[in-house]
Amino acid sequence: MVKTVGSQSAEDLGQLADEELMCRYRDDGHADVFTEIVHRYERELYRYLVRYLGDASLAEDVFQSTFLQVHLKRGLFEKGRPFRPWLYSIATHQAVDALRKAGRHPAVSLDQRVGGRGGAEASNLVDLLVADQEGPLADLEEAERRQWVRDSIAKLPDSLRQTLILAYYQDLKYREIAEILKIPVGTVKSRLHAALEKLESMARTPARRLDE
Amino acid sequence: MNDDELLDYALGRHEVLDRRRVEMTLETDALITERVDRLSESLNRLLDDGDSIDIPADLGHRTVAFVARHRRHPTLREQLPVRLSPFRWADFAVAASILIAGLLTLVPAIQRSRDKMNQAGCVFNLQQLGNSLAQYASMNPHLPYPPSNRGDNAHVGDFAPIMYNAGLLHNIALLDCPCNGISPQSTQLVSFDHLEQLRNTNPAKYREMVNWDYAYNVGYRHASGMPGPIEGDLASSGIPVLADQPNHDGVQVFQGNSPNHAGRGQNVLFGDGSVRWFLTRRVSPLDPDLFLNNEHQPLPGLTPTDAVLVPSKMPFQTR
Repeated sequence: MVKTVGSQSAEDLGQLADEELMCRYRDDGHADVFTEIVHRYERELYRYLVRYLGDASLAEDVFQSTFLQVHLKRGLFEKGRPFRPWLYSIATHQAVDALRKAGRHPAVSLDQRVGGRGGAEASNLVDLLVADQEGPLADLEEAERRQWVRDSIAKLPDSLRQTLILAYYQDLKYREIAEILKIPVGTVKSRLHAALEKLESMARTPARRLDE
Repeated sequence: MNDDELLDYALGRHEVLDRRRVEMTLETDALITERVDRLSESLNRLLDDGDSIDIPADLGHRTVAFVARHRRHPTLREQLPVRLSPFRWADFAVAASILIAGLLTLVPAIQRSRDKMNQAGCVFNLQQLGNSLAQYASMNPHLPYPPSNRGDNAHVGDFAPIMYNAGLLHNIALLDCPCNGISPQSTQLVSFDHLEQLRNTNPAKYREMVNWDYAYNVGYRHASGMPGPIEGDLASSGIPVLADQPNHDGVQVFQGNSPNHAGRGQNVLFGDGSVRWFLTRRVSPLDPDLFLNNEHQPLPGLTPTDAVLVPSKMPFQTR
C-alpha cells in the first residue's frame, strides 16, 4: 500500500532531493517525509557513527538522538542549504556529546588543533607512501591488517579521526567537511594529511610488530 | 601534476581536480602513473578496514518510532516553536546595551570637547578685540567713549561702532561669545552716525543693534568729578577692559557669574592684552566686583582702579 502525503505518494517522495524533503518536513511535519529521510541516511550515517565512536551500541543511540535533533531543529533548516553537511554536523555534535558523557574524550572539541607537526607536507607524505611498494603492513594477513586499520584509526587524535572518516570513508567533499567541522578547507586537508602520516608512522613502529 | 594533486587523486578527491588534465597526464607519463598506482595501493593497505559494519535490524523504523514517541510527549522546551530568526531579544538587548554604554561614554566627552573649543573661541574673540582696542588707544588719548553731547543716552555697546568708524573692527562675530549659543540680533556692524539716527527713530531697534555678549569698561570719575573714559597707557594700566557680560535686565546687574559660561565664571580682557578666566567677579583686592563700582552700582568707577564693566545694552550713565 502506498501511503500518501497530501496529494503526493511515498514513491514520489523518493524522487525528491534531500533539501526538498527537509523543507517539506520543516513546513508540514509529515511523518512519512521524516521516515523517507531516516531511511535514506540509515546506512551511511550509522556507519559513520560506528567508525567515529568505535561502539555499535553507542552509535545506535547517537543515530536516534541525531534524528530526534533533526525533528526538533527542523525550523532552523534554511532553504538553499545543503542537507547532508547539516545532518552530519548534528550527528558529529551528538557523537562528541556522547563520548564526553561516556568519559572517553573529556575535552573533545570540534575545532581542536592538531598536535605535533599538524598538516604534513604532501610531498613528504607521498614519498613516504610510495617508497616501499610492499609497505610495512604487507606481511600481515588480510583480516589482521583490517583489524589493525580499525584499531589504529581508533587511536588517532579525535580531530584527525573525524576528518579522515568524513573524507575517506564517508566520501564527503572538502568543503562539506569544512562546513560540518566549522574549519577552513585548508585545515581539512592538513588534518587529512596529518592523519595519513600518523597512520603510516604507526604502521612502521616496532610496537606494531610486537602486536603481531 | 604536483604531489598534492596526486594525493587528492589517489584519495578520490575529484572535486578539487581538473580530472581531464590529470587523466591526460597519466596517459602520457608512465612514471606518474606508476607513482599513482603505488600511492593508491599504499593508501588502500593503510585505510581499507573491510567495511564489515552491519546495520542493526529495523534501525530506521525504531528511530522513526523513537522520534514519534517524543512527538506525542514533547518536553515543555520542545513545545516552544523553533523559528529561524535572524535576531533574538537577547541580541537586541546586547546591541542596545553597547549603544547606550557608547553614548554614555561619548556624549560627555563630546560635550567637554565642545566646551573647550567654545572657551578657546571666547578667549580668541577677546584677544582680537584687545588688539583693536590697543590700536584705538594708540591713535586716541582714551578708549572708545561716546561724544559728550550724547549725554547718558548712549549705550555701552556703542564702543563697537566707534571702533568700526575708526576702521579697527569689521568682524561682528568677535562680539559673540560662542559659549552661550545665542547669536546677536545684528548681522553686520553699522556706523555710529547710522546708529544715532536709529536711536531717535527706533530706540528698541537701536538697543538690539548694540547688544553684544561682552561688557565694556565705562570709565571712572575723573578729578573733575565727571565720568570719563580710561586714559593713558592702556598696556601698563592693567585694568579690565572687556569681559563676558553679567546677568542683567537692562537696568540692574544681578549677582553671580556671567551667563555666557553657564555661571561657571567669566573671561576678562585686561589692558595689557591678556585674557584670564575668573571663577568670581573679584579681579583684584582693589576691585571686589568686576561689574559694579565700589558703591555697588553699574556706574563709572569711583577711582581709576575701580573698573566697572557694564553690559552693552545698558547706558553709559555719564552724568
